[in-house]
Amino acid sequence: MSTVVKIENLVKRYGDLVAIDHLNLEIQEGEVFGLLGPNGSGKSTTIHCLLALLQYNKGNISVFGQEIRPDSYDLKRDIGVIMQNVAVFEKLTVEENIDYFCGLYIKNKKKRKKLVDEAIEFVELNEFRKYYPKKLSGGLLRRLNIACGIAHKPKLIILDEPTVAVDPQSRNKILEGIKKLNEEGATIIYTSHYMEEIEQICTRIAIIDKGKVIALGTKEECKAMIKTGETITVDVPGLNGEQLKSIEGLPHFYKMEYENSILKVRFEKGKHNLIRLLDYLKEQDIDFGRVYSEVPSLNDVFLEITGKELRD
Amino acid sequence: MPVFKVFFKIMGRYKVLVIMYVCIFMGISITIGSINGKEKEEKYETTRVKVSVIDRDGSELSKGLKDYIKEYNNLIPLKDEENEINDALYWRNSQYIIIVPKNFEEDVKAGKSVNLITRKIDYADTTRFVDEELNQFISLLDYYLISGYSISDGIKKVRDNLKNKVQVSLVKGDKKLYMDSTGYYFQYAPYVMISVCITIITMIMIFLYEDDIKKRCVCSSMSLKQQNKELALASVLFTLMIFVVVVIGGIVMSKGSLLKSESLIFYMVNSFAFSMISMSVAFVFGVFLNSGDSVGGVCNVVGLGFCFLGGVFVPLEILPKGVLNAAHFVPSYWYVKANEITAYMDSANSEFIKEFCTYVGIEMLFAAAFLAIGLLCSKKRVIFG
Repeated sequence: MSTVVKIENLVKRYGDLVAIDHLNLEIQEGEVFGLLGPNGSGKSTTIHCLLALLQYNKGNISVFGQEIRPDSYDLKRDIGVIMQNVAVFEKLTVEENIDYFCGLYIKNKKKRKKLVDEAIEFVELNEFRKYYPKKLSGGLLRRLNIACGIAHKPKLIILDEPTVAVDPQSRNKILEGIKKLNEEGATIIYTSHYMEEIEQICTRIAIIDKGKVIALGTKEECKAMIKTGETITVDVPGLNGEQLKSIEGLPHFYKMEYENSILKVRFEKGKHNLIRLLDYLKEQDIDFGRVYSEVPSLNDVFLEITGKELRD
Repeated sequence: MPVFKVFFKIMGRYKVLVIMYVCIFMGISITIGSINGKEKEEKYETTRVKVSVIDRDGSELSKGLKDYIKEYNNLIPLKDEENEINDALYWRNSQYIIIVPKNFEEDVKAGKSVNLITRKIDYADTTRFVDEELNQFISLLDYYLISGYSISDGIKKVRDNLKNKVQVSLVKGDKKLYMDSTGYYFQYAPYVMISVCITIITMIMIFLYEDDIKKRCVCSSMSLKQQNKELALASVLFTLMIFVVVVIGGIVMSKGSLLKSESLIFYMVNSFAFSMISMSVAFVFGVFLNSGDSVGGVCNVVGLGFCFLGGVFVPLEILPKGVLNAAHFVPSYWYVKANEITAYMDSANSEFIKEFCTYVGIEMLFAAAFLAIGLLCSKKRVIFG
């Protein structure tokens, strides 16, 4: 596998604000690489620098082994971009929009026609070919937006939060489409603040906060970086201080929250944590309601490293 | 050429609006041109005024005066009653009423100062001729009576003298004395050109320069230079189409006579220069405006502003001095100047060509200045962050 994107020591400042702080990334061919971080963490700025839309203060960015600059048109031929906002012409039909954006890469009319048809097929907009964008639903619009970015069959596809404000059904279709593009050979860079999406489709993840990579690897590798192994939530009213202290004494105990009768206990990696906690509650004759256990999520990774939730 | 094609595809979506604009503005131009430009006669002709004479004297002199007046005017009979006199003037049955007082002849013979009573429509220019006729008759008769002529001989001599006419011929220079309907048509053409250009070019540029679409285009493998070239080419072609429509409208307006006229080339050059200004102005607004909703307002403000300030709708002669000074900074002022000298031109002598080229040159400088501003700002706008 060869390196498709290499970002070294990238620094981007907006006046005194450091948006990207010595960021390093290496993305391999065939990966679905996820950039996860809260709003304002620097994901989009990184993408803009990668696309040479922004001038950066320091660092190097290379794509397919070559430094990318605003006039790197040969490199740009192999890159497809799908931005956060839907970028299509309202006065052109679905087919005309895809044809226009594909035309910015492919001059041959016959070849372009074939690619446009394939893109329409891919995003399942066949029956909406002659529709104007304002007649399409939010989900269909997003699919059109994707079709405009991938029609020229790029080797590297960059998707910047493509599922913002999309209904669950359309979101699933979009995610399935991205997986399919990857299966067809494209390398994907996917930015989102939805950790579920990242977990669902990405083979490797970089979690970004304040312009820095705070965790990098597969989702398992990222989760292995933190202490939390399991979070158990119990609906239990009226626990007193002594009882809470006893729970803290359970084996593998890591952290605990108790608010509005909801007890949330984080355990380090280890077995039988749930049984031990429930046994204790039964021993103390404490009534409890709903109980559930969760394995660590990327949110837990982010929470443990930064002390704040991903969606803060 | 995707950008070039998309320009005309989007324009196609506005074709009804474009056709409507062109038809309405052409209709207005042609109508106003037809009304204002009706060819005026280049010769003078005496007019006959409706005159009534109320003779209270009944003398030989008063009858002679009546016959003299009748010779040059239409004599309308009228009763010697105040109401009748007022009605005749009010209903324009008579434009001028002469009342010859009693003892008129006696007083003239005695050399007394005689005042004929006259009633007339105050603001009618034609009544001045009757004033003149009366003065001439009385003064000349006075001379003859002093010289010893009798009343009847005096009247005969005066009438013989006043029959002599002077042959008037107008000195014809290299300028026409009026602006014809074609001249008026081209005078109003800037409004058509600037309105249509702003509506279409600005609107399409707003679509193309919309931030997200621009980002997508900048990320593509087609250089920004090439995209701008295609946009410029499409804009120029569209502007030329409007220019051609305007010229064809002018030819239709002149019923084809413009084709044989020396003025055609000058009208064409002047219109071409202004069409370039219209395109550049549309380009500047295309770069600055973010929303298509504002295009209509800008089109009205700029279109009407240029036309009123530049003397398109209001003749330059009646503009106040301050406005006229400000008008020098409005390109339509120079268009109107060039159009006026073309409309009044009979033959294109070197003096005319020099003056015409100066005005058109200034127009082209305006076009270049607007284009430069647009290009400078468009460059800034595509550099994100």
